[in-house]
Amino acid sequence: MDIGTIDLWAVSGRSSLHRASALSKLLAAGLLVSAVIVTGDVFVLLAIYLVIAAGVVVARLPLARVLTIAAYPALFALLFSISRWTGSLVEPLLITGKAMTAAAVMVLLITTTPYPQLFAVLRRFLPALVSDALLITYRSLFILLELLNDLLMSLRLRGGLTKRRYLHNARNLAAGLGLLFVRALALSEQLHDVLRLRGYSGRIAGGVSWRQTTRHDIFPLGASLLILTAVLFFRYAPGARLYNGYFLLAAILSLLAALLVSHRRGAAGLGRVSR
Amino acid sequence: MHIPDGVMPLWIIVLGWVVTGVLLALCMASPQRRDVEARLPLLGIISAVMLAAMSLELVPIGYHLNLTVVGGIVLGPALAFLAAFVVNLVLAFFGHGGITVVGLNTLLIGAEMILGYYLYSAGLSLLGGRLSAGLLAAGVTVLALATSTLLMIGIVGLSNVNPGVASPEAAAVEPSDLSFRNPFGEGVVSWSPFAGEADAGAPPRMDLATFAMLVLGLGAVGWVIEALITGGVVSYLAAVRPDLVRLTSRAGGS
Repeated sequence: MDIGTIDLWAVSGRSSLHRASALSKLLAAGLLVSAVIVTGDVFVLLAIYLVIAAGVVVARLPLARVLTIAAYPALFALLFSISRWTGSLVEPLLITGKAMTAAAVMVLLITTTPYPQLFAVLRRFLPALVSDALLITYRSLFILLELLNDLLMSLRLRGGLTKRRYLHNARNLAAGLGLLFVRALALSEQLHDVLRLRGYSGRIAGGVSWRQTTRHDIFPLGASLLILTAVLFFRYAPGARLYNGYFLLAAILSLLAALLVSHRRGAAGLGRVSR
Repeated sequence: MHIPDGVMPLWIIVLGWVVTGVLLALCMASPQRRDVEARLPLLGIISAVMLAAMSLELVPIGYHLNLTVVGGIVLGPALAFLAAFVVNLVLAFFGHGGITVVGLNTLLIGAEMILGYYLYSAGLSLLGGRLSAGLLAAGVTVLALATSTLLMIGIVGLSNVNPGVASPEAAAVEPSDLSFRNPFGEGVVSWSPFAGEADAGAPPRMDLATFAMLVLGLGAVGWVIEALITGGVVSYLAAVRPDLVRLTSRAGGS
């Protein structure tokens, strides 16, 4: 889970998806996750996954790395699928596919939306204390990640983390994490003083323009609405499932088109977000 | 272990959110609200420490640390549950655990943190200085993690229903046997790599015992690693900042 890289992608991206409002992307993510949950068809699920992959390409993000990050829940999903093994490959594919596709939706959202904008939307729905805690968590996360990286580097340079000496490594790593806790506490005390000085009274002020709609909102909202409608159609309309192959074909074509456009942009010298 | 999206039935997802919502409200209710507000920076930063620790992947087994028990000990039960929610929400945005099951995942992680706190506190008062804080925390970690794993197996057992397999009506690309048929010309184009393999309409056979054995077997490796690290972290804190781990003086440390 490379949080630093994900944040860099979200902040430095200039694609149409990056420029869409946080509200529209959150709504689109909600519609897509609903589609993933509603569908019971492996091929429709594959089609949604391919459309998300096309979205990653459109956002000019490294496709393989983003999909690798989103593949993490597959391991857990496989364990869950064992509990429902019917002797068929379909059920494990469906369960694993649902977990990976929903994760891909969320990863596409977080790699195209800076966290402060997401928080600005979330704080409308969450209790003030929880949204403030989220904000502090995220703000301090990068300071702590840097501290942790420095600690690990120091440990390695001094021979504290060496190959095949597992107990020795565990002891040193634990001491490093203990130090991280102590530094974190010092940080929280500083933050506490700052909040008191500024007259904190149960809500940190937020000033991000999260609901400014732009023309870039049309793509995520339109595409996700279309997908959910198609999924509902294939699931509930009599005889509609005869045509699910065309949905898959459309998804494959959309990914190919996105890759072609991305390749042409690359040839024209338009940089993509990478690290 | 994080429950992913799409594997749980709707009723259990909703139930998870309702129970989590009620517990969050209780954690924030007065007279605890003043305490929560005053310790908000600590809550946010310990959540961040847990997330930072989770970014550490232990090669070669791919296990990541959670530090839930240390978090619970440092924060106490009310703040620990709030931290569990915050951590799970952030994780869900990183595709690391489902967004729809944040409620259920919060209950699991929250159970680890709260149980860790109470078992550790009880151990301290029962054993006094006879056992070092680090060893006590290590033992408590194994118990807390084993309990949350059993809780998760219980949830899976409760939810062992069909996750929404499509109706058996024919489709162009057929999920039940992963085959392809041309809807405009029956039999003209056909490809059936797994023909006759599955019956999507059949109810899934529950194999909770296999699942439990697999999860407990894999989980046990994680409990030992987590216990080793938690014990080490608490030993360090007991020596450097004993107040953080409920020890009033350095003499009570490891």
